[in-house]
Amino acid sequence: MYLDHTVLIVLSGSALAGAMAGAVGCFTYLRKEGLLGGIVAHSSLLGITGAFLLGSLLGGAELAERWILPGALLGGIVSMLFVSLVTRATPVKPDTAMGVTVALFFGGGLFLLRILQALALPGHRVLRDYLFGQAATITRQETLLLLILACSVGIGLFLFWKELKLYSFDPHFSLSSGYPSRILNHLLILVVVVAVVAGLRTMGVVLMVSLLVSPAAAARQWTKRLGTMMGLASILGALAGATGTLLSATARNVPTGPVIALAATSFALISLLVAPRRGILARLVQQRRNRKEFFPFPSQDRPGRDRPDQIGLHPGGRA
Amino acid sequence: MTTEHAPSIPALAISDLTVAYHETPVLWDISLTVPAGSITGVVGPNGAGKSTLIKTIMGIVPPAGGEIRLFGGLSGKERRRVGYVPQRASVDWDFPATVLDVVLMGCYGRLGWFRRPRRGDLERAREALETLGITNLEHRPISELSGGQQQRTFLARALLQDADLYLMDEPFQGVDATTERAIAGVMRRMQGEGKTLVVVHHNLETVETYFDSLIMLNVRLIAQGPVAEVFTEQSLRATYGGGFP
Repeated sequence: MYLDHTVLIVLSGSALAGAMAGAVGCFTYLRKEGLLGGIVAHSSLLGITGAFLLGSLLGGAELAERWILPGALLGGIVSMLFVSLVTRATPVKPDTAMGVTVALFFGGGLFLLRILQALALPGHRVLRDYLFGQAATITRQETLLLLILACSVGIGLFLFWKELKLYSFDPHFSLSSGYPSRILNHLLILVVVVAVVAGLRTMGVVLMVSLLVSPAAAARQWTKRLGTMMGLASILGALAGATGTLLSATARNVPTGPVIALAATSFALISLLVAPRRGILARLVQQRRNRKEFFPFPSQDRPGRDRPDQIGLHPGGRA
Repeated sequence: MTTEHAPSIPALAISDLTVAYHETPVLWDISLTVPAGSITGVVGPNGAGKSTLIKTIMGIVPPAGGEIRLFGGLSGKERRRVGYVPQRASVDWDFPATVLDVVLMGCYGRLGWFRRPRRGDLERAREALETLGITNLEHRPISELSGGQQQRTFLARALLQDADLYLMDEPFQGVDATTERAIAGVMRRMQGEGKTLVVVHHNLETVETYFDSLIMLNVRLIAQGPVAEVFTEQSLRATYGGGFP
């Protein structure tokens, strides 16, 4: 494959989507709300199909396709509002509320998708691309739109950096410092929805969550600063987006979503394994070193933990 | 910020405060005053509502009824003069930040939206680290701190708030003896600078060492006043039931 103009547009589109998801994913990762992105993504299917149906009825295939993105945005936002409504109005806890929401919105979306396919409305084939992603058909305008969205998410994160950092680490202290949780929470949900909707074309609704979670989890392993983590996560997200798109382009008709998800997940796995200090290997080495340093005897003569009964420390042993 | 108040205005005055989670009252009809410049302990058994009292004063938990006056004022404006040291276990310490990052968070409230810490804030953060004896930990990731070091970090952050009234939720919980002495020293020093401290506390043996006045709580207010007057067997029984330690 050679890098012509179209390929460049497609690649930069998927890289932008990946970078956005990587950056935003850091906050959801640190707030332990990784699944939030998945709920938004799945739920946007109802918005996508609903908007498509409405557009078809009102103005035909062209209008229908133009309404997809606003529809996805609306679907994502409404699903989040629904989650908070259920949480506030019923005794149901947030995790269950999310489960109910995704069942309703994703289930409804799939149902509507079936109907649209059965009706064979003109242009309905494009909807399938939103399930598992298809980056190859990204247009110049769409990449431009992605660039604008990425810039606005970037500016938003930059402006509210201090507040979002404090809110993610210590929400009570943030509130007591005069930053209302409601505003910051809504701000975070807004950037998540924007990042998710931006990534739907390349990732699809089903696997979008992996692009939010994996780059953040990978980046966390390598640094002790939030800024570095976010920079690294966006680079890894962009890299996953671009390589996934390239790889899936070598085979025909392979959806891009799964390939990008695999790339992002492998970054996370490698980081969990080999990162210095926090990685699994580094910890094993450290444990071995500690044992040698603190217990420089062969194992039978080791005092304490190994033969506690002999020195009368074992709770079940004779005193 | 000024640290001088007319002695007649208490730092904190609560009247008829009731707080409930769902339908269970956690605090019932509490009225109390904390004199400015004192170190006041808050004691009571688990579930007595000690943390809830602090969180309600901080505006984190909404009250069901009653009135909270900070330095005589009712509006949220006085809350800027209140510093907060939450329980150490209330945050996830596996967060990508250094000790200095967390301490700097203490000035965020004063800075307000969009403004970033400046060189002056950085210098004050370093002074706070020195006061707490953790200058050497400045660049340490907070995920690698011991319990005592975490508590010192939180206290340094509170110093940066430069508040007049401090609410501290169990600052001595699970820290080593050296840290406990260091924290107690910092508290005395803060009192010397005219600050008022309200401290949730567990260990009854050290009540007389650390505090001048005491609030004894078990959903209702049992007793409040100078330690010498209220820290009696009778009020301890009333607070903890028959089996107080």
